[in-house]
Amino acid sequence: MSEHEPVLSVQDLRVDFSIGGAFVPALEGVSFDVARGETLAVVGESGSGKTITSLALMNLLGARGARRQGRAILHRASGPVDLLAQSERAMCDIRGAEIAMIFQEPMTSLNPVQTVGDQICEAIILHEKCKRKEALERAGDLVALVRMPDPKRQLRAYPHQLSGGMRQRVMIAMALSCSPRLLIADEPTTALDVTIQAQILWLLRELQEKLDMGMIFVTHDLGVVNQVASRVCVMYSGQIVEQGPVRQVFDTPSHPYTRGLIRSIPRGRSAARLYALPGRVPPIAARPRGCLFAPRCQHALDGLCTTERPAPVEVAPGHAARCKRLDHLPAFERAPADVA
Amino acid sequence: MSRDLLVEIDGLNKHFPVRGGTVKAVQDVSFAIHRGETVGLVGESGSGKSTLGRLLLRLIEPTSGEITFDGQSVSGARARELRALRRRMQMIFQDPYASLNRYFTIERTLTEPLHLHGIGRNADERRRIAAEMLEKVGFGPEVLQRYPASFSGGQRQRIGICRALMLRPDLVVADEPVSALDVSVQAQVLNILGDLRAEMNLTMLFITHDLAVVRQIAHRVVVLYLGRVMEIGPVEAMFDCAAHPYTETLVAAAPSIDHVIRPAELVGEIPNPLSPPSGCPFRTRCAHAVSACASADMSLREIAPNRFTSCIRAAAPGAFGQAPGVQVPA
Ligand SMILES: Nc1ncnc2c1ncn2[C@@H]1O[C@H](COP(=O)(O)OP(=O)(O)OP(=O)(O)O)[C@@H](O)[C@H]1O
Ligand SMILES: Nc1ncnc2c1ncn2[C@@H]1O[C@H](COP(=O)(O)OP(=O)(O)O)[C@@H](O)[C@H]1O
Ligand code: SF4
Ligand code: SF4
Ligand SMILES: [Mg+2]
Ligand SMILES: [Mg+2]
Repeated sequence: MSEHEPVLSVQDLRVDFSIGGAFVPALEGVSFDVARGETLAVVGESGSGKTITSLALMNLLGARGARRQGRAILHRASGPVDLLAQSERAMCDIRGAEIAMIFQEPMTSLNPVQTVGDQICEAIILHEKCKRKEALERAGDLVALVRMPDPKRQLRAYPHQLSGGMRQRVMIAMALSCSPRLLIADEPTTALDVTIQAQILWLLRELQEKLDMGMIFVTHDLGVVNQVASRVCVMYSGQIVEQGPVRQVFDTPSHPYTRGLIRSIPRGRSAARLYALPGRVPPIAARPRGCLFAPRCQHALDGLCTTERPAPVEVAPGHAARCKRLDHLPAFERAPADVA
Repeated sequence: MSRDLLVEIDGLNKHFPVRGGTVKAVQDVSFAIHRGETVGLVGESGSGKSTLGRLLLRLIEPTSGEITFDGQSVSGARARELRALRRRMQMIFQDPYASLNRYFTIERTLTEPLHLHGIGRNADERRRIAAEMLEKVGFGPEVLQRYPASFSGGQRQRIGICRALMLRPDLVVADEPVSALDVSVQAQVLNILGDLRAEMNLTMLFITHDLAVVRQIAHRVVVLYLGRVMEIGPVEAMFDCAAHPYTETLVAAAPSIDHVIRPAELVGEIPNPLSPPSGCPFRTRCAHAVSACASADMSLREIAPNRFTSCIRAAAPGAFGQAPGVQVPA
């Protein structure tokens, strides 16, 4: 495995949406690297900008007045390219050959009137420009790779005849048909039952290692992050507020938002009150001045926290947080006395 | 009957005729809920949780079986009696948006059931009652004039809770009330439910597929799989040591920030409900299955105090290796 060789390097990605004639920032400077053979999780509450991040990288935001700035360098065998500077045609090639994406609801991305076998074959023919016979062979390999039980029967089925888990396996098979260097998975297991989710998470983990791909895994579930990723970006209101190795971020979270999220997770012992992070993610047009998290932060100081966006501060090698008061925060306790 | 029991479910069945056969959504389910108790109903998609909840409130008719509420037959109740019963049993839904009329102000949504049941002398008094209940879920009276669309998911769920509690019911069936919410908002809503439960002495059937949530809110848990009860027991005991292999699987599969799931614990797909396996429905995915499981009798056995399981190989909680049919004397 080629540990630190980056496959994607995102630098200061900004996305603005045109709302009522003015540009409103949705992503405010997102930066991260994904290495080959590594899974980076992007986690945050709904509306924090996770999907915008993945769509912006793929140039799939649509024409609805979205403006992108920054750089997203994809390291290909043939040399680096900036994804944000590509024409739609060039992006089309890149999407087919270098980066693949899977979504939460596979049903919407599958053709309901074509068997899944035909759809996988078509994806292969499109990417590899090969004959149908070779495509069929390759399809057989792919369904074995994603561990579809009884593949012959499943390939003859139409999407609606398959379970949610099987449909997601089909989507993964199609995504892998181009042997991508990078796989972007946006909440791919959110609609699945826990036992099936666990199977798909394992499959993705295994495939990512075996194929030495980089993977960006988007989810709102911290528990899921722990199953698939080695590093995590915690997103809030269009910024990455904390980034670092998964175990380190979960055991010693630095940013008050990360801490609040972790403490909100129910941990049993019925009847005890949960810690509840107050408030919610603001709509993009109603973001506060200063630290985006200030209105919900129990450590916020007027002035210091309410004038400019905090810059990332390194708290340990490879672990950074956007907070002005890192030196003044108490040591993290998962279940502080006031909640027990 | 014990005065302590608010709800008794006995031999309940619900079959849905569908194209290609019959889905037995609820099969031979029996359990009781004590006054003031919260029973968690867990299981994967299609296990029959919502169907059971709807049967309990008689929103749908059972194929067979008996439901008793506070000593009164729900299944046998006629229109008038049912109306009186319904006032005492309310439901909270996963998607409160679907259950709130988007053309009604919050005031109208909240006061209409009061009006219907003849509570409050006039509109002013009903508005006051609504405002009081809104305060309990953390809203000021100003929201009375707003419409559902102007609220976030978590806020809407609080309105949904408020609406369900307006008639001061004894029983609340909550069907995945926090499943669509982010963890921070989920914590807010769970706290409100927990507080109101204590304040109003509510009895609850809490339906969820999320084990962490059930552990937080329930006293006892009923585990369903393909319409059948797998296990019933006190929540902490169940999490410490399951009395059924399916419960063990569910616990192992729950993604947590504390441990990484081991792949060996997870096999197979949920079978087609139109042709479930004979005997124990879990046998196609069970690591402990033996041939006798294919013809196993699914009635519950008490293998430790208050621990009921349908697994024929369970000798004690956590011990599933026994010869088939071996029973531990109760
Ligand atoms: N009105 C109906 N007609 C036909 N089949 C039905 C009907 N309602 C439910 N079913 C079937 O009964 C079974 C149990 O459904 P139910 O909705 O109770 O499951 P659930 O446990 O609530 O699942 P979920 O977690 O997905 O909400 C499923 O197989 C479902 O397809
Ligand atoms: N096309 C758009 N125009 C304006 N605002 C948008 C658009 N798409 C998304 N947003 C807003 O951007 C924020 C982040 O959205 P998204 O990336 O979808 O969040 P999530 O983290 O849940 O995936 C939300 O407030 C959303 O309403
Ligand atoms: S900068 Fe201030 S408001 Fe923002 S997270 Fe840190 S302490 Fe809280
Ligand atoms: S009865 Fe058999 S198949 Fe069912 S849970 Fe027990 S051991 Fe497994
Ligand atoms: Mg999203
Ligand atoms: Mg349901």
